[in-house]
Amino acid sequence: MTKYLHLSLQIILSYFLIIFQFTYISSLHTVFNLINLPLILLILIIILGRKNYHIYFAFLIGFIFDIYFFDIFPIFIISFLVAVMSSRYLQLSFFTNRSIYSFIVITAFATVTFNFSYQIINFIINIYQSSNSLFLTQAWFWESLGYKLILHSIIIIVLFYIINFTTRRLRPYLLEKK
Amino acid sequence: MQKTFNKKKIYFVLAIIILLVFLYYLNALKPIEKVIVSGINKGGEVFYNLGSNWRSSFEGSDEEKKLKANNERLEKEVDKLLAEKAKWEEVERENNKLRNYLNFFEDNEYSKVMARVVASDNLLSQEVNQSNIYLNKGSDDGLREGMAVINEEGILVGKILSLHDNSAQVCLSINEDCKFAARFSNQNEALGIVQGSLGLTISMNLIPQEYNISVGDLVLSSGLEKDIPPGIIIGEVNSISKQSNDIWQEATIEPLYNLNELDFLAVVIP
Repeated sequence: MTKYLHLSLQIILSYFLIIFQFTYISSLHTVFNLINLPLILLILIIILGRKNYHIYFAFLIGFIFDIYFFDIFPIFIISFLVAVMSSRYLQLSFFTNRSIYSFIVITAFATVTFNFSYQIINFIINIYQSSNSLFLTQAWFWESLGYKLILHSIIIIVLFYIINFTTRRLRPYLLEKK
Repeated sequence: MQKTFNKKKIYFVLAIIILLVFLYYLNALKPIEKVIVSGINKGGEVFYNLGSNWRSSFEGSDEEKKLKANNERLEKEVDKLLAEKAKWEEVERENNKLRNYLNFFEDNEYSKVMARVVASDNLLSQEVNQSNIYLNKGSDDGLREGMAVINEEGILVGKILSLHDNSAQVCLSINEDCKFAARFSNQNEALGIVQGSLGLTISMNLIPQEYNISVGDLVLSSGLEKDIPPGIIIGEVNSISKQSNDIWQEATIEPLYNLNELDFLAVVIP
């Protein structure tokens, strides 16, 4: 029962985070409105959450994005899923610890994967439109991706130290010889 | 530790996605959509303003210089418009007389639906300034795709692109995807299409050379679009590009609204 209550609370908090993302973050100055807080939440769930929670929350967050925005359904579900599943694979294959470097690399990887997934799907769907040009050749894409990488890295570094100082989730387990 | 992708997991994920796509396009997710959108609308009424105010203060110093220059320009404009007003009052009096004779029904009043800006979709938009905005009113409030959205001064801000039951996506007039049928204030025929340019201005291309346009001319909606009434101000001509050996000339049009002050808007119901 406690587990389901905990999960329900996490779902509600995720919804409020998404509302904050759509309303407050989107109204900020040109660079800061590129921050993707739900993606950062998913990265934390990948590293610290229970098994498969990253998939459930990627579905939930992507679903809300798809419902609200008018892009083709389910572009955000697919983009978030690709980002979290590949980041989880990266984490399990290459990062056996929970150091700050693993946090930063996984964040950068998830940010790049999410943006690439979205743009690729968008490009394929709109391939017959004359105004559609490949995003890889556009300066705006690389500029905004650069800003997102920097901002997300800064946020994840701050969150890492907050989690480290306030919880024991990132502390190493040391074996004592008796 | 699990290092390989679990095939079962992937099939499960794909099955869920396909199911959601079916349900979405069968409109079975409408009740959930309404709840999600109304929550975002409520949040937007609180948070969007906070973010806009922070952005305004951040961009304040540049804005002050712009406002001063604008002020001086507008004072000159007011003098010019007062003279024109007198002329148009006479024309209106004549018009009224003629309408009475011919027994026309004159209705200049459009109904409007007031709405609040609650979000924008700049997270993944093509250009940084190419984002669309979202209003907290939708098809349940009588809105339709293609309707004009104006600010408190009656200036055209954009038009509705897509709708939910209780929210609407609006493209701003400076957005490249936003086009309007327009004419110049001193010309009676519709001259062409204005289109957003670089997320900063509006441009009108392919204007025949024989039309005399000058900097400062107002650009208005022509009324050729089904849901946009004529005479709504789109912007003011900022610069004209014309070569003597060209058939066409181009005009750059400055929008007359402030991007940082898009809070309450009105949707014009024709």
